[in-house]
Amino acid sequence: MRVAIVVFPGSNCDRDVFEAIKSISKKLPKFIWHKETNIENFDLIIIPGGFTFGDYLRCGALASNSPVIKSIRDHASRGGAILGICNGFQILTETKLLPGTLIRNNALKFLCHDLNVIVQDTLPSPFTWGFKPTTKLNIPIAHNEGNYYINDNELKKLKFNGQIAFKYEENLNPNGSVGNIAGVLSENGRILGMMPHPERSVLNHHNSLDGKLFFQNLMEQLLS
Amino acid sequence: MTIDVIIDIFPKKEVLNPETEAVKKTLSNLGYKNIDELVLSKQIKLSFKNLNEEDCIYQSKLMCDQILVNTNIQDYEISLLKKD
Repeated sequence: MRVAIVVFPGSNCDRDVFEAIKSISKKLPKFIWHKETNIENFDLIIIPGGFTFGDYLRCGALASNSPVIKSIRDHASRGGAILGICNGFQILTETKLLPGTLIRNNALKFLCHDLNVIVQDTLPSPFTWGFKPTTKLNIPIAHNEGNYYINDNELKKLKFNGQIAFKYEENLNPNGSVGNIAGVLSENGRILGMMPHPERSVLNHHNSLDGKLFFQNLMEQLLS
Repeated sequence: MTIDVIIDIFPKKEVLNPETEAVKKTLSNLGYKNIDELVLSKQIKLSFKNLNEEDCIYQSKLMCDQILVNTNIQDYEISLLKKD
């Protein structure tokens, strides 16, 4: 299992993801600097959270034009798996590899706490298959722009295609996301963007180990 | 000759902007009760040299579509300001 972790100026969850993958996988993941242009032969590319380029212009906008993005697009077009966490999700929407946009939390506050996300009934995807739909995963969030916005027509398409991977619990939507959406899949199910941080619920000193379940399931699905 | 291009970027009407709502509410609390609409926009000014007007607008539009504007949530307007 070859995992790449893409690092931009301002990424700050890269080492957390590294430790999480290291604790689960037998093989160490590899850091990829955003200026690299050749990232072939990885089973999974992870774009971790952070504040890339200081969130200047819009969250993820500058990172989505970094040199590494072309290789990430090539990986996507080969059907490669990509996981964007938090700022990584924002970057994936800015590149348009995922639909929608993450705008400011409706309460205008940075949010950082544990919550439950609910696994949805999705199209075939290594990120969700292996979980029974309605499974609750306790995974923390930490974001200022996690309010997922997509227009009505596109939302209908997401629902119809089974591209909604995770939702926040009804009435416990922390940021105003349309349809309580916490995570979205690409049309082929090979790319996932999610606001919660699964790498922060993997190790024994974390509040939950549900992120470990998420990564274990993902690796099993990718290897199967 | 240089040509200045002003790009105004503002949120689409259908996207609820919590920042706009907060400013509007505060103004209302301050007694300004007759505000029908409030738009928080972002302005980018570019100065071009050795380009004609048409190309200035064309390049500005390309930049907007490529990176400066997220057209899912934002609209933009481009205006020109000629200088000697």
